[in-house]
Amino acid sequence: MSTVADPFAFLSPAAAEGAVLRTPMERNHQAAGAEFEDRDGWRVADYPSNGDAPAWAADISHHGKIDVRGPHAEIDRLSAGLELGSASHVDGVWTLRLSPSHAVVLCPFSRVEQLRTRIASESEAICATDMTCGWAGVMLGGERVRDVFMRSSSLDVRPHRFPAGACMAGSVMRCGSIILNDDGRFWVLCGWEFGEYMWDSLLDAGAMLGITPVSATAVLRSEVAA
Amino acid sequence: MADQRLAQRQGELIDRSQEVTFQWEGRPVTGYAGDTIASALFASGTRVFSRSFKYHRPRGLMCCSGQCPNCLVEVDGQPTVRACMTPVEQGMDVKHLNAWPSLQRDFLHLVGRLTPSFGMQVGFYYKTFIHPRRAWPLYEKILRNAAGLGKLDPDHRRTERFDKVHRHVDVLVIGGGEAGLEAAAEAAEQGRHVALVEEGLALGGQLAWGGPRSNGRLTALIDRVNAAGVEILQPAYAGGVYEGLLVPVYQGRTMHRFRPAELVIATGSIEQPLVFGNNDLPGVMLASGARRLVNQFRLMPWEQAVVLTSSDEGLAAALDLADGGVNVLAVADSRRDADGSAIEDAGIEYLAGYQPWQAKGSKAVTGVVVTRDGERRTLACDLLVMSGGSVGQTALVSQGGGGIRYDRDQRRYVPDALPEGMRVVGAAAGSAAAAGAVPAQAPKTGCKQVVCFCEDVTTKDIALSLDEGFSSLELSKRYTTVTMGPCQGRMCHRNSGLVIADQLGLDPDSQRVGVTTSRPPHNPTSFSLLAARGYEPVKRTSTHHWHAEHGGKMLWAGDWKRPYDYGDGDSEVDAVHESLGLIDVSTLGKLIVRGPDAAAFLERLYPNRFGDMKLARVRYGIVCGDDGSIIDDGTVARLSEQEYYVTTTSSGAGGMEQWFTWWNAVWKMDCEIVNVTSTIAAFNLAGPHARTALSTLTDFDLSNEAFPYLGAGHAQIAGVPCLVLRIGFVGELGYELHLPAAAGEHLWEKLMEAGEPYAVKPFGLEPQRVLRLEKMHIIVGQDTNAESNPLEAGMPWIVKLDKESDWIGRYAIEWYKRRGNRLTLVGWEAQNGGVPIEGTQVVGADGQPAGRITSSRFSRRLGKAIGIAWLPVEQSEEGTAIRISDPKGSTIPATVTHKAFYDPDGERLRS
Repeated sequence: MSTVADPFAFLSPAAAEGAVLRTPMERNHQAAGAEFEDRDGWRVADYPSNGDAPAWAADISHHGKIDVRGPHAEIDRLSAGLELGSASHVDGVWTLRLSPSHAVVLCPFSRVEQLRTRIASESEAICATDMTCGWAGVMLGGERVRDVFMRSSSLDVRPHRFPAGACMAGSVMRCGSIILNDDGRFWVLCGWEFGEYMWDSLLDAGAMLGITPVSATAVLRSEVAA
Repeated sequence: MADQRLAQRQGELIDRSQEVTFQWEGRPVTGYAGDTIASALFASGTRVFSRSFKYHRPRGLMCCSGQCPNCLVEVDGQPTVRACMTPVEQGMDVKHLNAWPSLQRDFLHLVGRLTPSFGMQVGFYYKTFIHPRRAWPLYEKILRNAAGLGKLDPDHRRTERFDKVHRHVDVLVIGGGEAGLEAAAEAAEQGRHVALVEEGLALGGQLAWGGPRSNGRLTALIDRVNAAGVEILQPAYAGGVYEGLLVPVYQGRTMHRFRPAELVIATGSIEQPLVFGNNDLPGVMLASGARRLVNQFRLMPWEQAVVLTSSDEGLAAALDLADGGVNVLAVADSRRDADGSAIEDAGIEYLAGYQPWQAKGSKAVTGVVVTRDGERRTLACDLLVMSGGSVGQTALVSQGGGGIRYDRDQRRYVPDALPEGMRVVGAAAGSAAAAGAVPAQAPKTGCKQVVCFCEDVTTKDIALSLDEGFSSLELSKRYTTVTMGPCQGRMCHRNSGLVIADQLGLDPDSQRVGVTTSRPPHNPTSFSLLAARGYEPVKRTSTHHWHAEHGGKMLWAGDWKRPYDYGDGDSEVDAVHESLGLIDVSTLGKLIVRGPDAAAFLERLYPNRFGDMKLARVRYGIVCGDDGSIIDDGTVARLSEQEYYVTTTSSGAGGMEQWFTWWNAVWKMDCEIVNVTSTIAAFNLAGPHARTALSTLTDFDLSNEAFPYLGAGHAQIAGVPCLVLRIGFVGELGYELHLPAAAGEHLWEKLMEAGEPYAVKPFGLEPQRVLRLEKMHIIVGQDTNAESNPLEAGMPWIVKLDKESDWIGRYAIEWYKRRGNRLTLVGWEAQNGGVPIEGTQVVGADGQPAGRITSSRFSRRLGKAIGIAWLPVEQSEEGTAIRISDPKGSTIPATVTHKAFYDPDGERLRS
C-alpha cells in the first residue's frame, strides 16, 4: 500500500495535479453560451451579466467546503460559540453552525486543504472532511431572490425569520440542502449529483421573475476581492 | 344593454365607461368591466346557463356567489368555470357545458322524462343497465358520454405556465367579509404579517352586496385594512386546509401554499335553498343571489317577484329588493309567528305560515303555488326568491382538524374544539341571528323537488335510498351522490339531512342526522393548478453527459440516471471478458467510518469480522436487520487503524447512512459517520488488460505481488487522487477507482484513452448484470427479499457466530441455524436454450410451485441461460434437475449448481 498522510486524500480535488475539475452544471453553462475561465484547476463559467438583474443565479460549486463533526464542546470552541442556525464570516471564510455537533466551513478553494488540516489538527475528536465535491452550490441574489426561493422551497426565509448571517438545512427543490443568507444573497448547497437538476430548476422557478445566470466571480465576495 | 341596468348607485362593481366584448355560444356579448360572465350574460338576456347533471333540466342563476353548479361554463377550453365568479375579459370564449345539440334545445333532456318505471331512479347504473349483461359495454359508452360536466381535450398541450409558491405569514384570513376584514386589520395593526383571501370580486361580503346602507362601514373597513398593510389575494380561494394548517390558495394560475402561524377562518355562511316542486327552474334564486345582481351589477330584468322564506334573512331580502327597484308581490313565510310588519309597511303582501309547494313554468318561472293548512294560493311572478336560512361554512374547519357540533339554539352546526392556531370568526363561527327556522318539508307535488343541484338528487331519490337500506346520511350520500358534486354539499347538505330526518322520523333539531365528511378540494380546481410546476429531482453522475453523448441509453435506476448499455450489450460483455471495459459505478453508496471505536462499531453492524482486517485491504460484507434478513451489502476497506471506507448498494446509500448513524447514536460509540456518496465518483476498469492500461496513467505498482486481489491503495492516476480497490463484481481482473467527483469526467476520458490500444468499451448496467450473474454474485433486493437470511442465501461463511461482540441479527441467525435451512439460493443453468423470465416459478415434481427464479440471463460466452433461484433445500443439491415455468405453457429443464458459472475458482480475478 502506498503511504499517505491522509487516508481520505482521495476525497479532495485539491490534491489533483493537472486534472480538469468541472462543476455539475458545466453543460448548462455551455448551453447558455458561457465562457469558461480556469481558476485553481476548475472550469468556472463566465457570464456577461454582473448581478444587476432582478434575480440572478451563480454556480459556486467550485468554492471550498469542509464538513466538520465532533463533540459539542469541540465544535463550540472551533466555531467560537456560534449559535445553532447562525453563521460567521471572517477573512473570506464562512462558518455555519448547523447542529451542536455539526458545522460547515466555506472558503476559497485554494484554502481548503490548509483549513481542513488546521481544523483536523485542533483535536483528534474532530472529523473534518473535504466536501468541495460533496455539495454543488448555487448562489441566488437580486431584489426578487425571495420570490425565486418561495417557488423552490417551503422553508421560511422572511427577513425576520432568516436574517443575514443565518443558515439552515432543509429541502430546496425537493433536495436536501444547506442554505446560508449572505447579506440577502442565498447560498444553496445540495448534493453534487443534484447540481445540474438544481440549476435547471432554480432557473425555471425564476424564469418569470427575470432570473439571469451570472459569474461566480462577480458575486462571490472572496473572488470579487481576488 | 343600458336598458337592462338600473341607475348607477354607490357600491356597484361595474365600470359603465368600459365595455368588454366576449363570445357566448359563438355570438358576441358585451358587458362592462367589473361584470362577471354571469352578470354580463344576464344583462344580455340569457336566462338558461346550463343543463343539470343527470336530467338535463334548464338551470339559471341561483346563488351568484360560486356556491351552486348552475352557472358552470367552459371558458377558453377550460370546463367547470364558475361564471358568477369569473370576471369578463375581452375576447374570452364562453360555452355551455353539458347539453346536446344546444343549451336551448337539449335532446338529453329526454332523460329527465324517463320515469322511474324505466329505471332512471337513483342507482339506475346498478339496476337498469345490468340487463342484459353483455350490453354493459354499450351502456357504459353511452353513459360516459352523457355524464360529466364538460369535456377535456385529450390533445390539449398546456402552453400557459402555472406556478406554485410557498408562503409564510403570521396570519392568514380566509374570507374577506366583515368579520374577516376586522380580524385582518386587527392582526396587522399589531404588527403581524397578514394575508387575506377573498373569493369574490368585492371585499366586504354582505356589506358589499347587501345594499347601499352598508357602504360607509365597508369603505372604512377597507381603508383600515389597507392602512394596516394587509396583503389581499383576490379573487382567490382556499382549496382546503391540510395537516399543520397548510392551506393551498388558488389565484389565477398560481397556487400559493400558505403555512400561517395562525389561520383565521371567516368564510361566513351560505344561504340555503328551499325544497319544493320545480325549485330548480330558471328564475328561482336565492335571496342573496338576487340581491347581488341588483346591488352589485344593477340588474333588474324581472317584472314581479315573490319571496319564499323560512328566516328573517328572507324578510330583509324582500325589503332590499324592493328598495333596489324590484316589484315584490308577496312574501310567503313558512313561519307562523314571525314579525312581518316591516314587509306590510313596505306595501308587500305578507303570507304567514305559507310554505312553497310548487313553482309554475316549464323553462322559466311563471308563478308559484304556496300552501297553508291545505289551502293553496297561486301567485304569478317571473322571479322566485327563496331563503331557507343560512348555515355556517365550516368545511375548512373540519378539514383542518376542527370539530363541529349541532347547536340547537342556532339550529345549525358550529365549530368546536379547534386545533392550535385556528380561529373561526363571524358567521362561520355561528350566529343565532342569522339562523333560520328549519323549513318544513314540502308535500309531494308530482314534480321534481331538487335537494342536490349538482347531482340532480331529489327528495324521492333520498327516500328510495333509505327504503333500500342506506339508512344514514353517510350511506345515502354514497348511494345517491348527494353532497358529492362541485358544491361539495354547500347547497344540499342541510336539506338532505332534513329530508332524511323527515323520512326516518328523527328530530331535525338534533345531531342524530349527522354530517358528512368534508374533504378538499373545496372548490372546483383544475389539474393544471394542482400540478403547477412539477420538479422531479434527478441524480446524475459526474460522467452523465459523456455517457449520453457516446450512445449510452440513459434510464432511471432508482433516483439516478444510468446507461443501460451503449447500443451493443453483448459486445460490451465480450470486451470485459476478452480485453477491457469501463463502467461508471459512482452511484454506489459511500460512507466514512472514522474514530477510535470504528472497528468495534463495524463488528457490531456486520455478521462478519472487520476488526481483524489488515490495513490496505478490502472485504465484502453484508448488513442484516434484527430479524437476520439481508438488508444491504458492499465492501469495507480499512485505510488506517481507525478509519474505514464503506460502500453500499446504490439504492441503499441513504438507508445505510441512517442505519449506521442510528446505531452509532444508540451505542454511543466514539466514531463519526460521514456520507461521501455525492463527493466521490467511482469507476471500475475491468478485463484482462486492466492492469496494463491503468499502469500507463500512474506510478502506482499494480503488480499482483504489490497489489493483490482485495487490496486497497492510494494512487495518483492521471493527476487525480484515487483510492484503488482491487475487487471484481464482474469477474475479471479489475480496479475500482474512487476519486473526487469534480475530476470524474477528466479521469474517465483519460481511462478511455489509455484503453484505446485494447479496444476498451464502456459498459452499462445490463452487461454488468450478465457479468455478475456469470460469477453468481447476488444483487440484494433482487436475489434476496425481506425474508432472506445469509445462511439460506448460501453465505454461511460470512456469518461469524463466534465473534466476541454482539451484532445485529445474531440472535435471529442463531435461531435459523438451529432450525435449519428451508430454502437455499442456488444457481441454475438451462439446457434447451430457453431463457426463463425473472420472477417465474420453479415447478416441482407434482406440478406445484417449488421455488422462484430471481435472476435470469442468456450468457453468450457460456452459450446457455443461467440464473439464480430460491429452491427448497431438498431440491437444491448440486446437479438436481428442475423445471422452470415458461409463459408459453411449457417448462424449461434446468440443473442446479452451487458454483459460479464462470471462472469458479476466481483465477481470472486474482491474476
